[in-house]
Amino acid sequence: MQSAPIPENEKERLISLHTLGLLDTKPEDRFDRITRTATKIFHVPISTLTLVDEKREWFKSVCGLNQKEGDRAISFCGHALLANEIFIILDTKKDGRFSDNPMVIGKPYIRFYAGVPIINADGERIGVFCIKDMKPRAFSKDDEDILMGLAAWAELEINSHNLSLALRKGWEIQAELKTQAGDLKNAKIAARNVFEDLSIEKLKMEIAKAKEEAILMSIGDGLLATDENGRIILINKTAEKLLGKKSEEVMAKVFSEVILMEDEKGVSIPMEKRPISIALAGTTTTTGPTYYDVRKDKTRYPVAMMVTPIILGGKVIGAIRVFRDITKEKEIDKTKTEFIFLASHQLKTPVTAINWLTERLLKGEINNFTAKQIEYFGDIRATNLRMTELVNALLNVSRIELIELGAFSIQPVKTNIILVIKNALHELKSSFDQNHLILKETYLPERLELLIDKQLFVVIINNLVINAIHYTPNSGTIEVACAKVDKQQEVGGQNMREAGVVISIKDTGYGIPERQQDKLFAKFFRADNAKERFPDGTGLGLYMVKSILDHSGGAIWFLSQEDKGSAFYVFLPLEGMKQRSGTSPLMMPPIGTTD
Amino acid sequence: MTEDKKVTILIVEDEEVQRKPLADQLRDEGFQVLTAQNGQEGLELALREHPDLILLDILMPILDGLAMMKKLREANAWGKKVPVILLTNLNPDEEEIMKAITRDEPAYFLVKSDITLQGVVEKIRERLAL
Repeated sequence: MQSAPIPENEKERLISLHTLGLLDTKPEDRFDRITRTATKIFHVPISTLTLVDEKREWFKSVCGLNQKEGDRAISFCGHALLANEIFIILDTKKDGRFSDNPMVIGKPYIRFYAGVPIINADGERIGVFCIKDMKPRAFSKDDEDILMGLAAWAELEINSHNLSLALRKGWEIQAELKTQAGDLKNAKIAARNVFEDLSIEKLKMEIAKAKEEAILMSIGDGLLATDENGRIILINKTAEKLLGKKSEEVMAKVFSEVILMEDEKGVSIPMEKRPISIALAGTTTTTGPTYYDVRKDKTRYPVAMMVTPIILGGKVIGAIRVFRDITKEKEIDKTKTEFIFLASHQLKTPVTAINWLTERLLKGEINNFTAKQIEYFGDIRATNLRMTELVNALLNVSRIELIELGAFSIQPVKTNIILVIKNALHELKSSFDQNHLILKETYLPERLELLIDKQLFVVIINNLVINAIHYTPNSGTIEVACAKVDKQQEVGGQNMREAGVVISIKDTGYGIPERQQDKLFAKFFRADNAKERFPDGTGLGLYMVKSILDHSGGAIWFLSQEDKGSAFYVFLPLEGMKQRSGTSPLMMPPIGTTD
Repeated sequence: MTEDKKVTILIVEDEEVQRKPLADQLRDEGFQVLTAQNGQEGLELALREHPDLILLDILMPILDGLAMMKKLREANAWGKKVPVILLTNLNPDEEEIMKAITRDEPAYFLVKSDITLQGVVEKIRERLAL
């Protein structure tokens, strides 16, 4: 037996066959019609449309056989595949190539075979259209023509399948192209729109940028910006004017090289203390007039500035310095300070004299006066005391303006605060004695060093203790305590947000009416029962205390119950009071005028 | 207290309306009183008479109280130690005053408008442990 030969271009043929997409598909009537016709025309039992793949002959259409495929090697079609036009075996038993073929000596006992190769659109032989008979027979030239005609029909169907595929593919491609073209067109329109939008946006942005630049450049305050290395990237007109330097002289230069700063005494501010350095390290600085900018011509002006870090994506990428010349403010401030100084001395001189003179008049030894006269002297003295309070209140109002402006300075120095508290209490000893008040002191530990501005600290303690004295009835108790506190510790109903020191002043006094407790720290506020007990208070003491603590990083709160007493708590963080430059030190309130 | 052992107080005060009741009150309380109208006069009187205590105003013509106190402390051993009570209507928060207080250590800093004559007497007695 001769096996079915393999064509030379088998690889290309197989690719072409597989590409056709007919292998292992379902039977189709358009092919079955042809094989059926063939059996009827030739009166043969079997006709197949065979596709020959690598290993098999596979029947796209089969008539008269109950199988879908066979072994290529023993197939007749494998041979017919390579035939010129037609491959005919009239009697298989008489042909050496097939006489011992299993399909000849066994089922289905093929004795006659005629097949025509099918060539697809690629020109590859992909299969065979054939008829088979169980008995040998003759095959005329007409028979050959008819078979080849049927094969051509089958070939047409195959290639039309191929064509329809190609067409479908073509349509698909066309459709896709169309869509793509449409998309492209849309994309083009979109792109044009985007471009137009971009142009408009760009224009808008340019206008906005120009506007912003104009705004920045025209700002009334001096404006200076640096990059993260402290190099100047922006300077506005006001800044140029203030510093007496042109933009081109300073741009891209490190700020400390082109803008000199010094303190009140003319000492240069060291690099690490320059607000821009501090801003580049991430902290905002606001300065009062303790700093001076040095102009190009070496003259100087007091400068108030706010220097903030420029933060982008959580990183400091530069610093902005907004500043102005505060020469005028300083002058006004000086005048005001002078007025306070003058007022405090000049207004108080006659008041003090009247005070002392009436005290002398009312003294026991000088008593040649009638009862009425003594009464009048008493009235003069009382009125004068009222006058003293008014003068003090007036001065406090002037001082309070400094507080409101936040203009007072805080200059912390390491101090044993326990000693300061003890001294302050000692100064007030006579007040305790006069009112028969018991003072209890508790200090834990006995010595506690903290960075405080001693004067301001004394203002806080004095105000709170004097209030306790004023608003506690005779034989009451005032407890002053100072202790270290831990983070999260509860003190006076408050959870500490950080570790620090708490000074508490508790009394057994009249307390603060509940409905008025929220206004206690308001300026000029006085609780109803406080006005009753001590009519001359100014309502400024607690306001001042709170203001000092707010500005120095501390806190104040209280617990109070009417007719039971009050407890005031002052918190200072472990690092002490925050340093602060200001126009002037805060004047101490005169004793006796707190509230 | 016999006449010759009387405690002497020097009042240095430019305002007569204040000096007069103060001096009278101290005399009534049994002190011997010397008075001066400015720092210059006060310094000379103090160094010559060696009073037991000096009541010193701050704001005065010619030589102010702080300057007088400085000169007094620098003058001699007695001047260095004599108790001084500053009695003024200035507030002690002025930088200059704070500096002077720390340096020259007056016994007290009293604000006139807030203290009675009797209060001043008590402070003097307290300081001199009388």
